[in-house]
Amino acid sequence: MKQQSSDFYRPGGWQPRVDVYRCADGLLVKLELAGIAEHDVKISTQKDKLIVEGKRRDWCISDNETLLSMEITYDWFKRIIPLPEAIEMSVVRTEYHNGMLLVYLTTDKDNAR
Amino acid sequence: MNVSTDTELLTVPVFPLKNGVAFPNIMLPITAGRPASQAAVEAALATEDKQIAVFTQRNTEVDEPGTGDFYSVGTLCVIRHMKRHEGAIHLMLQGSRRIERVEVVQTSPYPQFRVKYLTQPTDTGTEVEAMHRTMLDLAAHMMSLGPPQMQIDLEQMVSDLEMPLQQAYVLSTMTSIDVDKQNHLLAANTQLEGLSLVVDFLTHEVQVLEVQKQISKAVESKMTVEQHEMMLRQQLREIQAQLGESSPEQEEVAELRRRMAEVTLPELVKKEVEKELSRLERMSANASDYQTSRSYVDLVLDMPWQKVTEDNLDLKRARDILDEDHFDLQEIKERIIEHLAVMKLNPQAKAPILCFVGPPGVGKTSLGQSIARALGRIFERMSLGGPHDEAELRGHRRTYVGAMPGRIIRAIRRAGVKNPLLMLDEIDKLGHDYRGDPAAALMEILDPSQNDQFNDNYLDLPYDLSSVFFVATANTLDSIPAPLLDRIEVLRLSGYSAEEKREIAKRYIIGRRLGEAGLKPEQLVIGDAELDFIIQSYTREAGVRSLERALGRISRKVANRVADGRLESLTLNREMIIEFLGPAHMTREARRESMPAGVVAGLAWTEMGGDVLYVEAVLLPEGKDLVLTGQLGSVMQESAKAAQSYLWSQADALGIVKEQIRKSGAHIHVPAGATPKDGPSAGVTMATALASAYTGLPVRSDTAMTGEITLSGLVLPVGGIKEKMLAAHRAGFKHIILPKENEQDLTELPEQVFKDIEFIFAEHIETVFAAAIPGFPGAELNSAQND
Repeated sequence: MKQQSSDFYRPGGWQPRVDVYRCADGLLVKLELAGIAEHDVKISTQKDKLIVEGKRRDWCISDNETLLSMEITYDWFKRIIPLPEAIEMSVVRTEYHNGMLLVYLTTDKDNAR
Repeated sequence: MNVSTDTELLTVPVFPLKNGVAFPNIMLPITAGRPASQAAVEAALATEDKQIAVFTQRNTEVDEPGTGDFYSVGTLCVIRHMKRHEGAIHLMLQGSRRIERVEVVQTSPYPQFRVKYLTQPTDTGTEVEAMHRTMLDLAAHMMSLGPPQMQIDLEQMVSDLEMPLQQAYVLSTMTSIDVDKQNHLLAANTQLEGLSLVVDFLTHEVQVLEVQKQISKAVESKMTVEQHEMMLRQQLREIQAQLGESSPEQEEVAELRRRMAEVTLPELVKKEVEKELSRLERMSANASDYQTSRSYVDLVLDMPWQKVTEDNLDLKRARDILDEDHFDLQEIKERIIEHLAVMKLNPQAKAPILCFVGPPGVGKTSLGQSIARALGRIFERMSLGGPHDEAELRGHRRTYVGAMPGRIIRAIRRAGVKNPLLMLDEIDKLGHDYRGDPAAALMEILDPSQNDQFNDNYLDLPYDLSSVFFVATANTLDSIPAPLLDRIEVLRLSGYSAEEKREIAKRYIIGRRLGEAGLKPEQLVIGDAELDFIIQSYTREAGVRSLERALGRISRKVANRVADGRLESLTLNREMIIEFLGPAHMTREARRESMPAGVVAGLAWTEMGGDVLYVEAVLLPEGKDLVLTGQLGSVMQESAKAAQSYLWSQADALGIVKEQIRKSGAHIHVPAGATPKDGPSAGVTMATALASAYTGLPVRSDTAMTGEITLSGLVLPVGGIKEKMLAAHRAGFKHIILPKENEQDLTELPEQVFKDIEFIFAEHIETVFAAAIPGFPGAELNSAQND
């Protein structure tokens, strides 16, 4: 309920759903971000948070196509994902598979110390 | 990343919104129906970021708004969902940023503006803080005043929103704030301005709701006062019960029960009363049924179910009482005594229903009182003149408001016994209309074989009327329905003769009137001759009411003088009478001393008694028809025609010149032309008048006549002989011609009449002519034939 109401009133349009995995050398964050152009996504870290924001645009627009119904949100999104380890992490790499954005994170050992 | 900066101008399609405002960060479901808005939506959907600007239209009436029809500040929205359905486009918009119109790019086919972003106000400070808190307090207050479905968790709803102005936006969409104010809120460039706008509105709203609540509270409190009262009553009852006291209602019911124990009631009635009493006990005195029920039980207990008076069947005493109260009326007294004798021998005999028929003032009502006195029964009188509603007699059902028992039951209740003498006065004056015929109800009441189960609508229990002695009175039988007449025994009281009136005056009236005027008998002496003068000159009636009034007047005048000291006592003489009563005014009945040919004295019967009527006939030279005037009824007109036809057919034998009949018409007039007359009994009179007119021989002025005539000249009997004879006697006729068959009716007449009058009985009209018209041509021959 609260999740939904914040979805309604918080600035920044919509929020993609997120899975967080633990793996041998860090964390894997998987975001449900289908139909997003790579250059429209911005990933950053801030202390113990991973911030993913960007915009989904509709690219099926041409003169001979008309939308009959629309349920996919084309708007700004911003997701701040708190990370379980209360230490700073850094992004190792990102992958984009089958409409999912995978963000690999690793502990920044030097910083932790 | 392609994020537009705040200073950049943007060209967007515009959705013209009626009746609403889109705010940043608030979802807004809308439907695009108009071509312009649909075109704007289509344009927005064709872009990759689905943005559309929402501006509120100033005038909701305009379907295709121009430039000036919009507020200048709007909200840039993103279409989140879209669905097409039956030609309309349903959208879910999410507001994102405030924008201001810089330029109108186009208005058709859809409006398109160039807009600039407005920054979201973020000013803070004590004032904003204070305003913010006030707003939240007011909102909470408003929610608490509203209906329960409005009471959502405000705290939770606004807690996610950091900016006070954002909360104001949310609140404004939840209240009934008008669109203009909402637009001002959207256009507010500082938080303080926006907040104070909402606070103003909420303050007003809360006041309205307070008043509304007070009103509904006032209504509610009215109801609760009654409920409270009822509760108190209940408690009072409880307390009384515990203290062993009884409530006033119970007191009343107990009283009714006591009364019930005192009277003996038939089983059926007892059951009914028991039922009603137990209902009463359970009822509150405030219940509308309570009084109804109570007065019903009252009536049932009041009714004489068993109580009777013992009849006094001493015949000698009864006779004495009747004689004491009324002069003469031998036949009626005889009938009453007979009935008493029957009751003595067979107490089970059904009471007869007598009906006295006669002119006013002959003592019908007082005779009823005398019978009651003679029998020792209680006398109750009810006048039937007037009621035209069956319910008057039978009562209304108890379910009606103001229901009452009928007159019969009320009269019995007043009498207090089961066997009163009930006088139904003026039974012939009973009216009837569409509501029912009271005569029909009377039939049940007056039928001895069914009136032991009389059913009054109010009483709703059969009541036995069979031991009631019914006496009805009427002036005429004509207006009494035949089936009703069939059930009653008619006794006729005809008018009094002058001699009888004199006797009645001497025996009853003078004494009574002197007593009323406070005079001693010796102070006013009235001789027979003076009485006769009063009767003849000042009264004209079958009864004695006018006579009684005249004597009363004289008594008062004398009393006046005695009281003044002008007079000690008085022996009345003619001059004094004229002085007291004014000039004699009854002369109409006087006999005409000389009459021209064609005028004949006839005798008539009216409700007022007998009367003398002069029939006048004249010939109309060169006329043709028989003209009849004087408001004659059809029977009378026909008998006039029969009379003329007879004369015509027998002209030779009667010595009438036929030529005269053929050549001239005749006119018969019966004076007092305004009074309608009917009946066959003037046939003989009219025939004589015509005969006299045709022969030119006048009729004897001391002769009066009555009788019906047939076409062959036979004289048939008629009714009302006694009244007619008395009238003729009063008028001073010496000879009266009447039908032979009416001879037997004369036995009722006082002896004086026989002394003064010679009766001539006729079977044939020629006997009449011979007796009435001196020198009538056919007279000798025909009277010889008849004898």
